[in-house]
Amino acid sequence: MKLLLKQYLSSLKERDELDVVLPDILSGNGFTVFSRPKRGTRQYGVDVAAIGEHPTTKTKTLFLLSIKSGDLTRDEWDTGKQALRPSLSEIIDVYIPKHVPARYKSLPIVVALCFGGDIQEDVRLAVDSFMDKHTVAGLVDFEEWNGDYIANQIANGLLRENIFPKAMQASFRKAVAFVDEPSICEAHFLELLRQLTAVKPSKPIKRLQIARQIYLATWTVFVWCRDVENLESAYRISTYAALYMWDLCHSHFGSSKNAKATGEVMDKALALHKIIALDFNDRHVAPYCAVKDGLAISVPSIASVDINLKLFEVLGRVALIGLWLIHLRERLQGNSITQFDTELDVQLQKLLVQICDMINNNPALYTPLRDDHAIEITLTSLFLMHCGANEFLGNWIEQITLSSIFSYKINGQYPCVFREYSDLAMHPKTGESYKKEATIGSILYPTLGVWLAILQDAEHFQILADFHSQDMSHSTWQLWIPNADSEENFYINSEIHGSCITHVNTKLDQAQFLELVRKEIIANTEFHNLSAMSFGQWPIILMACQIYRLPIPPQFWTMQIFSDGRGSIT
Amino acid sequence: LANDSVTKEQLIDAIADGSFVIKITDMHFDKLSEVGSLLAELHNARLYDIIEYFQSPPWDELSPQCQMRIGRIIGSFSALVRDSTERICIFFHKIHNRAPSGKTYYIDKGLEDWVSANRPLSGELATLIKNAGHDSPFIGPVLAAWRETEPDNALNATIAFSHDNRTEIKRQALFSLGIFRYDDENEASKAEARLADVALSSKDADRISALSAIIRQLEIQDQKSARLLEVVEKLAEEPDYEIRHTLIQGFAFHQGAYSSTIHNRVTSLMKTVGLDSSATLEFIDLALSNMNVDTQRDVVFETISAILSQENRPPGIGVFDALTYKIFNAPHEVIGWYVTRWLLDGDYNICIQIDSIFRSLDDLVYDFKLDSFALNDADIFYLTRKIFAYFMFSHGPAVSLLSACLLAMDRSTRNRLEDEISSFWLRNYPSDLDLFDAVCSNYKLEELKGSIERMRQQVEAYERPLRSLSSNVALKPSTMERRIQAEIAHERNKYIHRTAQETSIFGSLFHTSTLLYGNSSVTYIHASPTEEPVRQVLSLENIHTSMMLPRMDSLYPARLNYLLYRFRRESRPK
Repeated sequence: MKLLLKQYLSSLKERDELDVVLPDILSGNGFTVFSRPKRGTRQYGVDVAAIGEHPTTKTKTLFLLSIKSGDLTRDEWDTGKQALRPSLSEIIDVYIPKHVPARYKSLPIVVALCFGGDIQEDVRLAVDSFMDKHTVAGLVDFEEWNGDYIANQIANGLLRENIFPKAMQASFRKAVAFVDEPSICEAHFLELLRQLTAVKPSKPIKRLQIARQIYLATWTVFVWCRDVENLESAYRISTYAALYMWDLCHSHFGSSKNAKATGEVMDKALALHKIIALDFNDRHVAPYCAVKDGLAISVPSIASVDINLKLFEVLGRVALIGLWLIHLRERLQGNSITQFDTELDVQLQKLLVQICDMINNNPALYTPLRDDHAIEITLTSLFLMHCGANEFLGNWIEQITLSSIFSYKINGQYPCVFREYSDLAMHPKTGESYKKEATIGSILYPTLGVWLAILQDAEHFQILADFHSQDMSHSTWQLWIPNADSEENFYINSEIHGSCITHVNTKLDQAQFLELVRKEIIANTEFHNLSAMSFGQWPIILMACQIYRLPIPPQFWTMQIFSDGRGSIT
Repeated sequence: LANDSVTKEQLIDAIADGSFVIKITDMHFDKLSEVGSLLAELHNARLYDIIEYFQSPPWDELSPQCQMRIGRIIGSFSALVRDSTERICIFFHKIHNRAPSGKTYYIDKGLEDWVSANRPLSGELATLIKNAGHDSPFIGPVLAAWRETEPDNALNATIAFSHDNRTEIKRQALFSLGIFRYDDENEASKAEARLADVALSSKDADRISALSAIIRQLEIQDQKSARLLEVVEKLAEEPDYEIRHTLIQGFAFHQGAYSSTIHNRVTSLMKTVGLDSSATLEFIDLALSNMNVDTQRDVVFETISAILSQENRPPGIGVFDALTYKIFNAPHEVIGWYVTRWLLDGDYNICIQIDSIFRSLDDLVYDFKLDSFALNDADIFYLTRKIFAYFMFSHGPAVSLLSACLLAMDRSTRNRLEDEISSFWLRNYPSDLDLFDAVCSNYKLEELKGSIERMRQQVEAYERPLRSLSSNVALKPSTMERRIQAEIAHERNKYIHRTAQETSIFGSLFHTSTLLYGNSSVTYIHASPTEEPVRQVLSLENIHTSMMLPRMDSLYPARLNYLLYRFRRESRPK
């Protein structure tokens, strides 16, 4: 376990990774962290400052951490602006004399040299010599917190056995061991999450501790995934981690110290998911999108079913990244961080181009194989619509509609309700009864109908309506809305929940059809009672819908959620 | 009985002790006729009554091999035996009636040989048959022999026999009227009148027999009888299934019998034959394959096309295996002509089967030309898309025809067709550029080089960015998914293997052994029961076939289906 943690630590980057994780490790070990890394403000060599117990005298001590990633080499010790020695000198020369908060001035100080790996031999003498020179007995001590030490801290603190029992350690170890087999990693990680959240402690501090464990475990898997250059597992487990953590914590957000800390961990878990999602996109999707057939050919399989499933899955993920960015933009509305706004716009524009390329260059994205690809189609459509790409969206929806109808009529690979891979791999079989079974219900066609109606495409709406009455009378076309059970089950998919709207009548004209949907939206008060909606974190609902294969509630089509201005947990 | 020297004594001994049948089983087949001759000598010398012996061979107890051997001996014996005509007549009828069905060939041949050797007795034999109270399969050869010695009597008797109530006698008599040669007009007139009368007025089998006889008679006539031609024309007007079958059969076997009017009429009749007349279809196949597929290409093409595009359950092109084999072995220009015409006509039922003219998964290139079609640009684009739609599994013919399309285009607009070929065919099968190269070099088509180079550049422009992309492990299907795909592939391969075995000609002819290990098999060949078996080691050859799947079928099968659907539905530009 310690080796695993050490490997994880040594792989962390200094900025935004090790310096983010370390405060949590300290908190988990009883330290009170009062200063965290910040961008844009001078910290005079101190990345993290905390109050804790002196390792030898056991007295209350001020810890000042200077953090570097990986092994400490000669270059990282002495050369350049980011080297450790200048940072330490700044701590001694500036921070200790001038910037220690008044209430801690009387405390002895430990300056901790933190790095994920080890000190290389050729720099050892210089480091020891520096520490010896600047040590002031009883006042300023130096500590070397290398990968081994920090791993010990994690093992003895956050993950110590009485909190993270052996059974959970086994699930965690297996999840890490199988990072390049995503479905196995996912199964073990989910098991870990279930074990961690099986009993929800009533004390906020305990919940906070579990949240931190989830967060740290997610980080560990992410780093290992990065090592094997395959972020699939990381994407999946970070989604589950965020959703399980939300389920565990949302009722404890607030202004008390622990509630605030809980909110911070939740924010960090969501941020981590977004980091992973962006990294996933940068490594595994974006480089392939601009090339004709690039993404499809990059799927290591010649089976069309594999290509179709993977392409829709990643399309949904990329759209969700876009929706998270839109969410972030909404949160920042009113703030005058113009430069960041512009950066976000650039990112959104980049994603828009990427999604359009992805669809244009991979025609499989015009032909959904699963009926529940309606989820990915909706995610993408929401993003495209928000970006104003209505013409592109209209053309895409029209093509999906026509190709799905065509495939059904010629018994090609038409959308089916099956979810088991073996059924999908053998689809389509022959025979009318099979065909009816494969299309016994649908969320895809009503979803297409809604989009065609929104986009005012009367011609293709009519084609869809004719298809409904002539070929699909056996099929229950439906939409889905959350109900009173949803809040309890949505985030961890524990029980079946929600209600189906089955009176989806395409015989109506477009306006009447939309009115029908609108009425349902108004009547469905439970949607706005979902905690993710209450806290303005609507993308969490979309995350849950995608990973648990639940239809996107029609409320999202109204787009009102984008303009309500809410969205902050803390 | 030794194989080298068979003696009469040995034969008598074998017959006497009942070992004759056993002993002839081990004899060399060529020796059996010698045995028959010796038996005839024994009978003629009154040393042994072989007729008596052969009248009741225990057919049911004999193996099929032995039945054939006995038949062969009887056949040889019959030609040489001398006895009273009455006894001969009874003998042949008895053994013919008792022999298992399908084993009478040598017996019937024996009668023919006997009649040939005893022509002066044929009249007597005919009379015996006439007076016998049963039907006879032998009247035909008897009348033919009689006609050579006593033409008038034979003809009169034949006409009389054609009125007989006994089916086979009547049939053979009618048929004899058709094969007799008539030097005398009066004789011919009598025979023709009888045949015409039966053909036009009677029903069922007699009508068919008469028509067959008429066709044979017309074939041997230097100056064709107007009366007979008229009968055939009349029958061909609105024929029922049997008459149509007989007319087409006549077309297949006796092409010289028909006037051009009848020829055209029968060709038209062929177009109406459907799956419910499979025997007739076989004659059509024979008839068309007997024609010159080059000089008579229009007739052949229109006839077969009409049959293949019938509205209700049209026959498949597989029915016409003789014709398709002949087309496939014709000069490339001829094959190309047929294929192009079918593609230009665009009939789905036919086009979907065209590639069966070629070898399965044919990757050989052909020297096809489109000069004779005078196609405009729109036609060539249309033809190109039809090739895309129907030649997915015959890359050699497809590329050969696409090359012909390129060459048929004007140089100034050829690049548009290159784009079309690159964006569909070569997108699916990039390695087919090698086939284009082969067409170019095999048939010295220098003019094609520029097009191939430009298409190669387009393929490269598509492939190069794809090659530069790194492997995307994150999108790899899970172990379980990969296992399911492997199982599907395994089941599919098993099915292909099983189907190949079931439909294999060799598999159905021979007993097969399955070797579980090794790459050779040790067998022993038994030359004869007396010799030591010869040990033989047979090395096994590895035979495999593979098929290139269109890339679009993996990447976006629904789109590929749609494209193919559109290509197939497309009508020829006006």
